[in-house]
Amino acid sequence: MKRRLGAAVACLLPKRYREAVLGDLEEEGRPSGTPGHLGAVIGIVVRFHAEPWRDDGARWGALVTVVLAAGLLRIVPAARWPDPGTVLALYDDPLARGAIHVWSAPHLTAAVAAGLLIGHSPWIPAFAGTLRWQLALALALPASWAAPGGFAILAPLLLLAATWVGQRGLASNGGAQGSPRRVP
Amino acid sequence: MGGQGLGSLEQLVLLAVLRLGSDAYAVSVRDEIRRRTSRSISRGAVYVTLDRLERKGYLSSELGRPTAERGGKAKRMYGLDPRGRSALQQSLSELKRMAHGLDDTLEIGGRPA
Repeated sequence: MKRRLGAAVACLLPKRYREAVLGDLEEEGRPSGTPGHLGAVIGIVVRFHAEPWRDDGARWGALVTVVLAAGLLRIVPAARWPDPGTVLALYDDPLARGAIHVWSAPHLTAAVAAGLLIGHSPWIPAFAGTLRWQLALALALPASWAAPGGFAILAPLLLLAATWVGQRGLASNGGAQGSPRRVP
Repeated sequence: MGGQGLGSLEQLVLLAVLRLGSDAYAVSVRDEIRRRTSRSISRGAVYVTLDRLERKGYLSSELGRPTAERGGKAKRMYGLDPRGRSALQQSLSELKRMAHGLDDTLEIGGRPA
């Protein structure tokens, strides 16, 4: 159990350092599954996740991103059509039905949009990739509260998934998370 | 880089990397600092400081060869870059100039005030 928990927590380390950190702990007599391993990994993960907050640019980027993402979570559901029937009366075709279907679950659309924004936010520097997950987790709760019924579970999950997708897109464009960036 | 000063832990880490030469990695850096200063620094603090110094262009790193004693995992080895050397020189010379003439006041070397 402890071994699995340790492995799960180690996933929160920047990918670039994961192997070296786990090897260092092994060398220091704290291999996976031994007493002290989990605490040591948690301590290192916490430091890595706190580090971006020391940087002014990353702090501002996080603030802008979280405000915009929270705005999306609020605005998109508010923009829902009050009566889809009137639209279908005018345009009763598969495309209109599909659009209405998607738009009738605006909380999910909002969660996906917010997640993609967080994952792909250009205001968060590449080295501060851990911030994206902190913001996504922070907004997952409001996304859950705002969504009605069964969507309360689906909305935060979609938000996290969209963050992952957005971040992957960023990594494939050359902004890999956790890679060192030369600062002027 | 003159406008971007070094913190005290950053100074210690750069000095440790300089001392350790080709054997500088997180564990040896932490041990070296502990051995020479008796300061106990958390593992996480050493990792994020090494990462920050690398981002600033003061250090460079590469993965070494995996070894059995590390469970087949590689070390991330660090080396001091010219910019790091120059930042360290500047930082230490500033410190020396500020401390100049204060040895007696600060009782450096165990001398009475």
